[in-house]
Amino acid sequence: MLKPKSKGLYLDISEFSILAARTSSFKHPMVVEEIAELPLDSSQDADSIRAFFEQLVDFKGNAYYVARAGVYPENRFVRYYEAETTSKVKDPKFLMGVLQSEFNIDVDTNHVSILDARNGSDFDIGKATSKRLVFCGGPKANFQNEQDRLLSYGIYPERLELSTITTTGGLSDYAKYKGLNGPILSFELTSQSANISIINKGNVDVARPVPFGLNSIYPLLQRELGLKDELSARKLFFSNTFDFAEMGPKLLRRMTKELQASTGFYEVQTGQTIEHVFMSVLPKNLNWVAKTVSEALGLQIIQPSFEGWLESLNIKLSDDVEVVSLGTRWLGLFSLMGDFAQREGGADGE
Amino acid sequence: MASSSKDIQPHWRPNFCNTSALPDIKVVRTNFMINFVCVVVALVALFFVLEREYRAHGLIAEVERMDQQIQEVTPSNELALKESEAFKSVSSNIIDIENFYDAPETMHALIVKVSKLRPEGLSFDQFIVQETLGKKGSKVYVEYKITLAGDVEDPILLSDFKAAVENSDVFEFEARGFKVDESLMARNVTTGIFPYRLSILISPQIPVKEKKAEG
Repeated sequence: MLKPKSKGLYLDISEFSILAARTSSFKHPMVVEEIAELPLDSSQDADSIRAFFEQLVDFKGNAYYVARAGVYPENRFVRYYEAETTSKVKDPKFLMGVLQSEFNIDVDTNHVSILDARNGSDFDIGKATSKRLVFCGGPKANFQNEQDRLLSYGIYPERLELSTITTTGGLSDYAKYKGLNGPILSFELTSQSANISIINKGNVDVARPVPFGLNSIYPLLQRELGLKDELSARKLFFSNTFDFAEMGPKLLRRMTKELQASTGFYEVQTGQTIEHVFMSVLPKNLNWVAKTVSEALGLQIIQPSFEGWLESLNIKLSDDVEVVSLGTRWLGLFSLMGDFAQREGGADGE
Repeated sequence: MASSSKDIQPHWRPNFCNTSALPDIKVVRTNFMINFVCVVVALVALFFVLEREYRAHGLIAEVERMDQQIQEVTPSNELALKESEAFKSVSSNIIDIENFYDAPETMHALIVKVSKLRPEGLSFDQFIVQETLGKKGSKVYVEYKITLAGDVEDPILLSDFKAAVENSDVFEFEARGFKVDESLMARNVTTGIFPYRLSILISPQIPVKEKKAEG
């Protein structure tokens, strides 16, 4: 008569794919029992995506399954801001003014969360001890679209997180776990936009968006290869049939310039050299992008070893879950499971 | 500012879920009712079993106590039964004796009185006195039936004897009247005498005769 405990379900849903993990529960210590990936394309409807979830978890005849999800809504933002003094950030009007004037973010139409850039904790205006902040969020309508999209799949998002900042937190924690003391460049590239951040010793030192993404590459690719339209260029871009190793640096030149601008400014400003680059979210067939970026910037790609890191977060992997060959894009999914406050001993003060 | 500012969020992981736009998935759980009913039924059953066991235990103890009591009183009971039996046999004799002494007339005196009325040539073989209870409505009364049987040489002697009995006050007892019936049987060819029977019923139902004035 005793009811078995419900399994946990974690989802990282990007425009490219759905990464999913079934866990023993939502509470630590937990065991990752199964992971699955569903590459997304325009042919899939909500029912077929629900069928994917039904293979992973038992809905028990219910319309919805409770899950914790990370999403990438359009026009999302992660912005680093350093105030002159801590007393200034204690004034909500001041912060509103910063959002409005410096970042052009309307607080009425956007969800905004303010974090302490040193450790990612919720920023408490009344007890502010940090002048270094991270503003993150996105348009309310776009978050709502993501939420509605999940509900259409039969997923009840108990938590709806912004994967961009969750992954940043995961990377920061991984760097601490791994003892990577130098600054790390994190790059999230999607169709509409990209986000750049630099993480150093658990702190976010830089976070800014790039107003263009993969979509900016297709016209170039179309011209380079003489394709009939951008759609054909996009199809070719995501297919595994073309080797972009040679053409990659040219296609990504605009991106790498943006990255170089950020890293160069940071290195000059801080006197520290960035040694690593981490690229999230991109599907497996775009691995060449990370390789091209790392070569262009002369940085080492971080390939997280998930098992040890997860164990350090009180998360175990069942024997059936093989993570050695998983790409960097899975960091976003596993970051949804982590309680990074556990490792905050390593956070630097100001 | 942040929609999710009401909760303390895990580090680096703010929640942007719009809970007000989520469907209501609260399910009215009924499993507990099944459990509850099962538990109640089990408890009731347990209660009855325990109550029966308790009563059985009490009864067994009672039976044992009674058995012991029976064993204890059996010798005295047997003695009492013997005494009761003896008393019963003696008491019937006592009742007979009491009846005998309660009779309006002692038998030997009665026989003497009747004998004095007997004419010559009439003999008694039997003198039977029976006491019976009569009932009239709810009233119970005692009747006596005296039967004389014997032989008579001449039927006239029997008529005389009957008349003598009727006219005497031998059978007048305590507001009881009496009635005399005679029956004469066929003459004994061998002896030439007649066997007879004279019945005298003494009962309060028979009116008492008025005494004839002397002289």
